[in-house]
Amino acid sequence: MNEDLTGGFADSADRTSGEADRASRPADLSADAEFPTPEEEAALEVETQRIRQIIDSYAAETTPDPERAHLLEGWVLRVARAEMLRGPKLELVDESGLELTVLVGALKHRVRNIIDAHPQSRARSVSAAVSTPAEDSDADLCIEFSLGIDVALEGSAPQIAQEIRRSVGAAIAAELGVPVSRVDVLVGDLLPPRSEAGAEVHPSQNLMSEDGPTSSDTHAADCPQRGTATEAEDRSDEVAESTEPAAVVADITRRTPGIAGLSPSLRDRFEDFVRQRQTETTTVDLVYRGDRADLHLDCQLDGSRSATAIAREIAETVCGAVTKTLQSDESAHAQRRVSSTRVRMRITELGVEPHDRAMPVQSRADCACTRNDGKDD
Amino acid sequence: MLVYADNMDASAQAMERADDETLVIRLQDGDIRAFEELVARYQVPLLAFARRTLGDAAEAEDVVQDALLSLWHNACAIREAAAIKTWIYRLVANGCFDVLRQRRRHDTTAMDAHHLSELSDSQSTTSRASGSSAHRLGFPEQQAESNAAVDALKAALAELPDDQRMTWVLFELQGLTYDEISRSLELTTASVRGKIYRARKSIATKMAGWK
Repeated sequence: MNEDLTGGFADSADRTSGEADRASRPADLSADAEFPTPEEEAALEVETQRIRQIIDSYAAETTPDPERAHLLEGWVLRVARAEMLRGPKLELVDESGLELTVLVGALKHRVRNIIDAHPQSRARSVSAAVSTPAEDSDADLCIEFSLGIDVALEGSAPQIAQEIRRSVGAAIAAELGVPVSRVDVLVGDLLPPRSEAGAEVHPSQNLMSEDGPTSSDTHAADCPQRGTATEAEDRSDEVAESTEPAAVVADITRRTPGIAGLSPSLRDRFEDFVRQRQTETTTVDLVYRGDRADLHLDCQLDGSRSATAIAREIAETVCGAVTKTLQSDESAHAQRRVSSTRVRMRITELGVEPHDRAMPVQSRADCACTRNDGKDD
Repeated sequence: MLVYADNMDASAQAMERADDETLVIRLQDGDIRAFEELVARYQVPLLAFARRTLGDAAEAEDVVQDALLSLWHNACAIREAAAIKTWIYRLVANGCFDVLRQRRRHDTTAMDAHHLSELSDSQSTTSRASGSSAHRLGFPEQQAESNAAVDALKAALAELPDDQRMTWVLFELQGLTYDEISRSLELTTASVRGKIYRARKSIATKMAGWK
């Protein structure tokens, strides 16, 4: 929908724009026939004030019930969050060669947080794209960002941009294991001054990265970060029962080569090993489904352990240990070899700082160890 | 390297301080926190507007829900970010007109009056228990009189043409200016003045015996 589709109701004489479909709207045919004089308006103002108390009582009666308003707000926000989860993703490869899929919305959310955390900046727009790394880099892929920011009047825009550039690069590399090749920063507006001293910054000052000019734009051409309205309607029942947390969800899928398999005799060892991995901030459960052993991991991202670290631990350490166990156990079925191990992580927030532990954010990882022979144990 | 003082809530705090224009720009970039803040700012006034226009709380909720989801889905169509207030009011106004038109299509004679009187009955218990000045005073006669006065106002509003009622509600109860109403309803400012004048005149006539 756009502004031209929102309609109106007045007759043609009243309209500020003349769409034909408005003819079906109820019209006040006397619209132009009776315009008040200032004296008439003043007299009616007195009349209105005479019944002001009654009007106020009516207003109080028709004020929305806060509980119902809260329910409506919750429903609308759940729909929006559910659509975000169906938004576009970036297919990445981290420094260790693991494939990684990251929701663009989650990535942008993380970067906005970094910009907003700077005392002299506020995010306007964030765009992220996969890029080819420099020739001397070991990485297969990089991410590049274009940021639109507002800066404080008293701040030094180049310095703020440089600090944000460093922070974004460091955070993304640490949390996702993917290097950031460039961060272009476009200053869009000035924030109200917070102190009397400060350098003047001109709006729309373009602060290019060292790599070259920016192509960032503060206005997106469309809304690509969201799922479609039709998808939302199709899933309305699901949304109504959704218990998704308020935070934007990152959906990270990793695939790594591996061999895993479970015979009944190995389950105890596997479970023992899994329990050993349990830490203060991580709980692990095993669920068996046919020939699959699903590893459910609930964890809090506290800044000391990144999404990359957790996913790698599951993909390599846990499943690697199972493989070793299989190889060393004579009772294991040697012919039962598994072609791959799939670890699926859903992380409710990236980069939660340690001091936020009072409000832990739960994450969940599912590790499916699947045999390739398809037989049940 | 920066130290993030409150990284988790940095965006939420920034949104609370941000003006509408910034919120819309961030919403157009897919920032759900900006959407949350806009919903928090506008939901209650929009609900009140729709309810006062339609005289039905459930229908008002449907209209506002559709409008807020339209805001989420079509934020990129907002060409003037600073004008979000009139943009969202326009969505709700047109949703209300669709409902009113559907009522007429179903040949509901005096439906507006019916809805408003129904609303009056259903609301009397709850809202007056929590609220009116007469009730707070604790004088049954005064409360009854106040109730009757409000009912008389509802009847007067129900008899107004839809467009006059809507402009009157926006002006008297929602606090919009002539200019904002004209942009919300896509009318000229002069036309808005005329509609409000006629609505006030009609109400003043019907409420002549009340004060």
